Amino acid sequence: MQTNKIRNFCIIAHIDHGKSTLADRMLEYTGTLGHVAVDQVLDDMDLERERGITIKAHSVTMQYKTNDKNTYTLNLIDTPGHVDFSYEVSRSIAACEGAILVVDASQGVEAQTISNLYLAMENDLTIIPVLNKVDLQSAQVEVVSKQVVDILGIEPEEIILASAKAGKGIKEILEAVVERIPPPEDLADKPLRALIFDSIFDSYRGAIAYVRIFEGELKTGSQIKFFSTGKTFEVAETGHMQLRRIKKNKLTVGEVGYCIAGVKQVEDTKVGDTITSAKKPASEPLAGYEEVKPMVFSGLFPTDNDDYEELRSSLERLKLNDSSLIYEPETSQALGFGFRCGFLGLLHMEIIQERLEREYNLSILTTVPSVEYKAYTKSGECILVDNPTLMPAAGELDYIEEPFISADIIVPTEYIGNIMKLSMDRRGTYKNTEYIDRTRANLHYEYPLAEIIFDFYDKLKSTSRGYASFDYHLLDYRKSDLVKLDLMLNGEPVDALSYIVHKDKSFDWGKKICSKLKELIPRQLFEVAVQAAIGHKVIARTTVRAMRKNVTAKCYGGDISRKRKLLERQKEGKKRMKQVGKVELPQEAFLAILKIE
Amino acid sequence: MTAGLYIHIPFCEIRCGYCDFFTAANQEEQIPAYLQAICREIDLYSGTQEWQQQQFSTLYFGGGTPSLLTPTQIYDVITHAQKRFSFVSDSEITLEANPNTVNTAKLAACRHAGVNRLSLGVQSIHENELKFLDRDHTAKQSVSAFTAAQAAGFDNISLDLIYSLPKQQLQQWRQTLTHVVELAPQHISAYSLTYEEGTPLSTQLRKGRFAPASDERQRTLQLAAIDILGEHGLEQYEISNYAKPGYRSRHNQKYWDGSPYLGLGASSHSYLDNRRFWNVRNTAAYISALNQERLPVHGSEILTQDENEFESVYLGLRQSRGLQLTAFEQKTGVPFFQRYSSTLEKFFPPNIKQEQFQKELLGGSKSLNADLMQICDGYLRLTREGIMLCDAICSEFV
Repeated sequence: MQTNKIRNFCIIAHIDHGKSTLADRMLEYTGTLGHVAVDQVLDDMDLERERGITIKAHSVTMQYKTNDKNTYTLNLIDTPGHVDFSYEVSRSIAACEGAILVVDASQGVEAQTISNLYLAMENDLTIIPVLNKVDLQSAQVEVVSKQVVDILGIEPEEIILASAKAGKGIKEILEAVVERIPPPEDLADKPLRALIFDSIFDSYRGAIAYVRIFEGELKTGSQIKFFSTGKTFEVAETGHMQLRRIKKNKLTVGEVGYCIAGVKQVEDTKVGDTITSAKKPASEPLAGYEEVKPMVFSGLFPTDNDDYEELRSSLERLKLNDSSLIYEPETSQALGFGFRCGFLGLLHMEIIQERLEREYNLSILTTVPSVEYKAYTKSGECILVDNPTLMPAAGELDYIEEPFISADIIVPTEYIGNIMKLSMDRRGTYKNTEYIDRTRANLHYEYPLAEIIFDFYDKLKSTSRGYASFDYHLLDYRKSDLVKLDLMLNGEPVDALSYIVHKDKSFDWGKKICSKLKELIPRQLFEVAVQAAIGHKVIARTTVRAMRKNVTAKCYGGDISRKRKLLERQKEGKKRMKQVGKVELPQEAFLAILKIE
Repeated sequence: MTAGLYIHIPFCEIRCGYCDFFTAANQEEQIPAYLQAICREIDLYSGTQEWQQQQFSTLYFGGGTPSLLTPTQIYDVITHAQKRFSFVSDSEITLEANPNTVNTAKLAACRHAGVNRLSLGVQSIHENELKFLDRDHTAKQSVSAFTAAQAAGFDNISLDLIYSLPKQQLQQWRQTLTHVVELAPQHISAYSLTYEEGTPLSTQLRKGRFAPASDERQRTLQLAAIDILGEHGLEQYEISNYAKPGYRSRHNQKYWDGSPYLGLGASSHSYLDNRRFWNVRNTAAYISALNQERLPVHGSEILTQDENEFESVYLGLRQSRGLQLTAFEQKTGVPFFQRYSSTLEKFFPPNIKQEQFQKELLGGSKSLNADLMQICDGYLRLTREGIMLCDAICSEFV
């Protein structure tokens, strides 16, 4: 195929700004759907739909006949919409020559949009600015246009006004894609280099890579090699994605599609990796490949110990289509056998947990998420600590380093004070402020990662009435004055409740965790003493008093079956609790720390 | 083990807000047809071998308000039952009665009809409490009914009381208790008020019309009952039941010790050899089934081994004497210690050895005490503290 008839692009937008609806309309307009309107066809996982976000990127190939009657192949590459998946976004962007920037005309530019926009600009993508939802009463077309003009340094006329919902502006956008976005470079004669921008697992076909051909061609039956692993495979099938796979004999330079090559696991089709020819390989991979590193770690334990093997096999299966999930066996004195898992972020962790519960029907207990600390011992050794229980004893410990991030927070100016206060609470360091326009500012902060992984985003939203948006990337490790806080029930330490906290906050947290646990632990047959300690020093304590009365008054002939079933259900309810010593702990108790104000 | 016969009389003049028994208010015109159906049901069961071979030792008219029946009607049912089934000569025959439905003459006639135990629904001596419970009698009528029963020759009288009403203070409950013990009944049943699903009172509770008594209050009131009744010779023998020596309800104990019982009338439950079954909860359907010579059974269950074991423990521990450990093994075929050693570790110091258990505790030569339960005389029983937490403790044995 001639590269000058191809356009590859993505859509950059904040959640809810209308990306999926716009994509749907483009598919409809180009007849890719066969004129059947299907809502938000790009998000094909239930969870994605429910959370209103796109987790995994996919692509779709459309045929578009322009005003001047030429037919172009447009490849839309979808991008994940959450900060946890920023690396995947960067690879999707790298696969394109252009991007449609969608901004909600009533809400304006948001932090994540900006950071993805900068990413697109760094990759020299042509940006087509679109103001969406212009027909809403609350639309502020002029104000938001001005923001976009300032950020992009463009003329106001370049902005397309649209309402994806009403189908307004779709043709203009498609025309702009053809006119403004450059075609791919024609490097057909070179050895194959294809960028994997996404991959999924199919139970029948194995790992399927979504690729963009930068050089050469990808032919069915040919031998290919993955740069990062050096493994070779034979291409079994290739083709375009038009919501389903459309088989083709080959993908040529500039094209976007899929590649099936009998790869057993998605770990071997890593996002960002380069596919080349096994016989005539390119000398270098495409730039930008990174091993994805988890940022957040947590223990996953089956509520019922008998489910351990099932949890293991479920994680194995999840890993098949999510290479960013890592796990290894973990043993907890309190919780028994489980797995220490690494996640890209808190959302990723919640998604995995929900998928285990929903798709694999497992009852899972999650321990408090932790970042990875570096603990330096007096003997000069550096220990990576992704689990508080691994922290060396105070006597051996020299100092601890923790990961820091750099964050952009875009917020209306009247909330700057609130953001500053929140940042102080979270040990943030103020760097500087850029004003996007008179009413909105971009605040640059540095925070310890541990301070933002729990509820920072929720707090940010609530302190700004939902207006603040947030994006971050990892900076470096820095020395911090941290201590390990242990929790004890009836004098017995519960390892799964240990938590690493800044020393200045430790007393306050000890008290708050104790009182939160008192709230969360239901009254039991026996009194439960709850204590928080640093080392051997108890810094806070509370008591969960014993139950006072729990007895059925009447139990005659007609009552017995009913009462028996009632008590059986009472017991069934307890199964969701974890027995630690004599104490029965509800699942929420293990995440008590997350619920502290 | 001898069997018990229960006959449910669902008719009531009014329906009380707390009551979740199957009752039919204002349908007294159905009584004759209903009693005919009862007699048919007796005929059908007496024709089966499993019930024909049972020796009965109790008959219990429960309700509803069985005292709405005339003494003649009561006589007819009793004699029909005694004709068809085999009863021991000193059988206990109980009639539940509402204080405003009886007088000396009627009670004397009931006594002649064969009733030898009376259970009076007194509930409270405070008029405001009676009103809250929708009772259609006064405290004075309760006392009159009691003296009438004594005058009619009853020497085995039980009184029903209800406590833990919203706002009820210890003082009011003590007044009710001290007042009724002065009458010197042989037996008292004192129930903590429960808001059963579907009752008018539970609806009012859900709507927030009043606040239920706290656990702490309920506990205080129950302990007061145990103490005050105990001081007057009424010993607690089950969570809600107190009796003078020799006057425990023989019928009700059958429910707790695994004896067979046959329940006649709408909604009644029966139990025999691990099988429990129950009648349709509708008077018309009940009558119609028996008119067609069909048993009005609506459902049944056969207890699994686990259910059987758990019921033995639950019903055993509700009684003050506790669960007889050897009887558990006889009934279930499983040695108690083998089945529950890990559960016992939650209550007793760890590391009880099976050998010690079998040799010393089972036979009763030694005892073992803990906060919530003790093993003594070969019984596992709840302590005073344990009784308060009976359900939570028993659920550990599921």
